[in-house]
Amino acid sequence: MAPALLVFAVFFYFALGFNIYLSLSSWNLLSPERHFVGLANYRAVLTSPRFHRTLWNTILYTAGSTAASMATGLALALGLRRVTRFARLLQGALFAPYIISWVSVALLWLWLLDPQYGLVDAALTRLGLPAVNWLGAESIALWSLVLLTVWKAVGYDMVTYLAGLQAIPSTVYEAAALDGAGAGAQLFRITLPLLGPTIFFLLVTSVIFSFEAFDIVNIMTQGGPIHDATYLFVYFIYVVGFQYFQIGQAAAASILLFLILFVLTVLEFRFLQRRVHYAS
Amino acid sequence: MNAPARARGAAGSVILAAAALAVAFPLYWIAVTAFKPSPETFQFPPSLWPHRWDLDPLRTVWQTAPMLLYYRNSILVVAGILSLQLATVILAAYAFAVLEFPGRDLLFYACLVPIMMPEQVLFIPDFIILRSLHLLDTLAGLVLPFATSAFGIFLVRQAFRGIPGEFIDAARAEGAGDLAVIRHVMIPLGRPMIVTFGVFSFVFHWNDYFWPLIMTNAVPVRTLPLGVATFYTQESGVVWNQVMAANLLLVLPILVVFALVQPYIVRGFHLTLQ
Repeated sequence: MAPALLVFAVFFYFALGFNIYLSLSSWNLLSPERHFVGLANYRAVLTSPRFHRTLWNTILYTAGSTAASMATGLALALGLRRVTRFARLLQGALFAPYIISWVSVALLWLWLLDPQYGLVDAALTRLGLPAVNWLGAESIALWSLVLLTVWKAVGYDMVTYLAGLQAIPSTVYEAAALDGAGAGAQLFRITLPLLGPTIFFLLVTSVIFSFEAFDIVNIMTQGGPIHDATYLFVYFIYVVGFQYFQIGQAAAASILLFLILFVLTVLEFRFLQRRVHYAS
Repeated sequence: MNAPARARGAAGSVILAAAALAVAFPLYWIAVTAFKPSPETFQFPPSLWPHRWDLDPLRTVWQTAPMLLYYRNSILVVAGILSLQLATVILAAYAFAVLEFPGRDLLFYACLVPIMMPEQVLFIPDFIILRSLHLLDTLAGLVLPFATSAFGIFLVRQAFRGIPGEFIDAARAEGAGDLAVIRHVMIPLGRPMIVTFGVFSFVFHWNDYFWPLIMTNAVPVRTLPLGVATFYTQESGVVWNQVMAANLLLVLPILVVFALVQPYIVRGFHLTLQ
């Protein structure tokens, strides 16, 4: 236990305290000079137009990718509930994108969405539809990131739903069928209410995962194409800290992120504990 | 089943199969592009099957970048993280699940707070800590911060708490100490959860791009995801068949592992949700 605690003590608790201290200082990472500036860094971050755009982008990205992947994942899970070899094969195919790296996803979709030679625009043109400038248009780039995030996450959501569905005893459905409940009534009266905890769990984890997004921005758009159109939270911290060397402001933004994620984690932990009590 | 219901079922199967195909197709596109000669990647409409399977992109990737070094570094980092994590996680989970000592619950909560706090939150202070320990640009700097896992401690503790106390008492009665109890009782009975955690951790750290990006700069310590990403940012313009060939070398090991351990992954979802 002691080694585990030591790692947390250094890289989490000490780091957290150090981060708070940094967020109250002005420092450029290299010079020995570092002085206390109070809440000036928080004020600078919270009033920066780039931060406003970043926060708004992060909310849109999180809402879009969470809603789309949770809805699609649920539909797929309901469709693939039955334990057949066919269902298992499709489940495997749908889950595969989840386990490959974001680097692979970023490179692959840069290629698929390439405006000149990409497969997606080629297919659209072939169907007589106009080509789309997926990553080069300010109003579309963020939604392109949502699209590939849904592609990657939907298998995870599906498998989580399937685990939740499996916990619903079939006798419940049999009783409902005897009472004459149709498919629609069974879905809304039994399946969805009993999936409640699973849906909640997925919601919280998906939101947390979305707030962590960084790799696709750094590799695919560098926050662009213009006007910070795809700046997301972690990318903002990275740019402020490691490109402009405004360590204090980057640390202040980290603390804001920490607070958001902390609230979400508490919610999630409450849920996990309740589920554990059910099981035991 | 009556006829309309059967027709609906068939239509549903077709839709599901189409969805799975649409999701899996991009993965196929990595492989196909990696084996196309360069001119064929600029062709319109794109060919769905290469006219000629060309090994040159893979060969060029292998010769222009130190891929073997990237593999070596990735394997060393992931192996280091996994072995340290398994050791610390099992010991901590045992202490929290079985032993009684003052302040246990408080310490357990202290281990839980980092559970969902991703590496992206505290990377600035961690960068400075590693710098003052002279661990930037070292493989140790990629391993040590991940020497344990809050999520792992939580999961394995749950599994250990599910083991009946009689087994532990019986082992103790035969004179087994804590380490012997862990080895002969806890690990064998907690194995499904331990393996599941190991698989998830492996996938996560094999794929990790963020931490090495921040903490390393030098080529000799570069891991595979970073190395592969550099193929896109070449100054000479993007050569797509080479980018996809490099991507294939990154994706293939993880898909092979996935195929081998798929039952553990699926079981992991059931275990963590219960």
